Amino acid sequence: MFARMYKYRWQYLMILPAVVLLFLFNYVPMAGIQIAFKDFAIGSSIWGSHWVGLDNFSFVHDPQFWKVVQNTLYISVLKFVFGFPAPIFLALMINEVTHPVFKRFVQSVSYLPHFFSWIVVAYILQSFLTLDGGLVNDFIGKLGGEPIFFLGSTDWFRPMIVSSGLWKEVGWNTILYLAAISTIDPQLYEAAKVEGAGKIAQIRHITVPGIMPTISIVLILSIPSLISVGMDQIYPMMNSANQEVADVLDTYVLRNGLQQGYFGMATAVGLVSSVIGLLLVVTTNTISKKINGEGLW
Amino acid sequence: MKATALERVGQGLIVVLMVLMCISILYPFLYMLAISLNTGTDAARGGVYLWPRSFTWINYEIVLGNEVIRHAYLVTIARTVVGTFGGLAVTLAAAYGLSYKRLPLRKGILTYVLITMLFNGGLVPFYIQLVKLGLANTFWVFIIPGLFSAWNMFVMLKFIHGIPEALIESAELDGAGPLRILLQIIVPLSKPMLAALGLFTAVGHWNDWFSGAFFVTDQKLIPVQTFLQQLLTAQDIIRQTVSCVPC
Repeated sequence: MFARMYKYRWQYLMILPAVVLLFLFNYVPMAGIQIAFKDFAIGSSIWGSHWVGLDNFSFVHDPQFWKVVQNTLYISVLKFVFGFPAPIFLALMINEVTHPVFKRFVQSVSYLPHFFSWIVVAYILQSFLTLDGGLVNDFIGKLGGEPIFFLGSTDWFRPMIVSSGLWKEVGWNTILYLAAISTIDPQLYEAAKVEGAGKIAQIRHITVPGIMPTISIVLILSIPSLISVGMDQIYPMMNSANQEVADVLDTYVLRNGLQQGYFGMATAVGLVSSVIGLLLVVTTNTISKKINGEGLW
Repeated sequence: MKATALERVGQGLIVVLMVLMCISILYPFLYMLAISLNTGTDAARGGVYLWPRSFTWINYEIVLGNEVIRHAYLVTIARTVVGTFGGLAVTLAAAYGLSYKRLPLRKGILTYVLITMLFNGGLVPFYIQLVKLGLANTFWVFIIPGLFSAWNMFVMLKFIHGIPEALIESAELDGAGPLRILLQIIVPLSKPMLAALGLFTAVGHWNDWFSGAFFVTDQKLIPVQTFLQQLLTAQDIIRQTVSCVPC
């Protein structure tokens, strides 16, 4: 055993940095979850702090916490309902574009927003929606309506998140589907044409079944993210006026933990959402194994 | 076979939809460009849609002349370059090492990596670890924690397994060591894959505002995206104060 391991000493040396990095930045923080059950304060040691049982979980009595859970689920379900089918339809449409140059142009343009940060997206939204000369309010004014303060409105926050999320990622998310479509045997389409199947029938009976495995993998991968909406997108667009609907689990942890120093409580909230996330992955994986015969692992 | 009338209408509809989508993506950038080339007070009156009305370079002069912004760009460029090349090197080395199917403990190490993709300690323990390691509030907090990417490693591993083993075996027979095989066979053959993963890593570094906002306090260390994020927050505070004036 050791002789064989010695033979691979260079390989181990190459893997070593990765193993050390994972230990430092993934496994040590996992052990740090014990903070959720301790009265830890910054400056003291994690292992030396006192156990306090479930004291840090008293947030379950905080109505604000349940409001945050509700916001998280509301936004993530909305994003899922719109964000999951949209790239499938877009991929099917792009696939039907016959002109090759136009097709490549459409694809390239649709990938573009993915490469901009959510901060930039927030600025774009702001410049369109601001009360001071923003395009949208300009038009509303011209049509004789009252200007709307979109950025600070609790009614408009969710539509803004969903639509800007679609705008940014829908094109990028077609990549997997387009790749799957390109692996479908062209002979199938030829045969269908001979049989007299129209375009719609070809899409229904060849293209869609052909990308079904991809659809189910993407579905499995997106279910666990239902619990974390992604602070990356929410935080830049959250402000004092819309916080009531914008506050989600991630921002709640951030505010209570890093900004206000309630480390124990924030870790406890984080732990609950991590465990729910893990349960969601395992459950969807099991279901997929039952249905498709194979899961992710 | 000729397309039916219905199919032709469908084709036309798709083209129209695709054109609309392209406009919806490209127009915002054009709009921002027009506004940025217009004087601010004039733009605030509205009506600047495509073309600047009262043209000026002043906004760009202010941005490029601002010491803080220039420095922020320097931080962003430095972290993108160092983070991308460092990240590719560490991740590729690990993927290559693990591509040896007869490596003892291989399964165990792969599981060790996989677990980190499924579960994590959460933000607070991670932050405490950064503080403990002395990384918080240094430039290296942008680089070191992200050097290894489990996701990218699995992509690379799959790619390396696609390289014919005969190539590697013949190099071994010629006396090439693992490092030499990695640099002279694997890297040249993986260029397209490395370029793609490198691009994604670089974009990730360029667009990250989060670590700059919460893991460093020194204003000299903030990247551009964090600077922009701070401006957004500052606007919110101004709005709050202004709306409070009447009350």
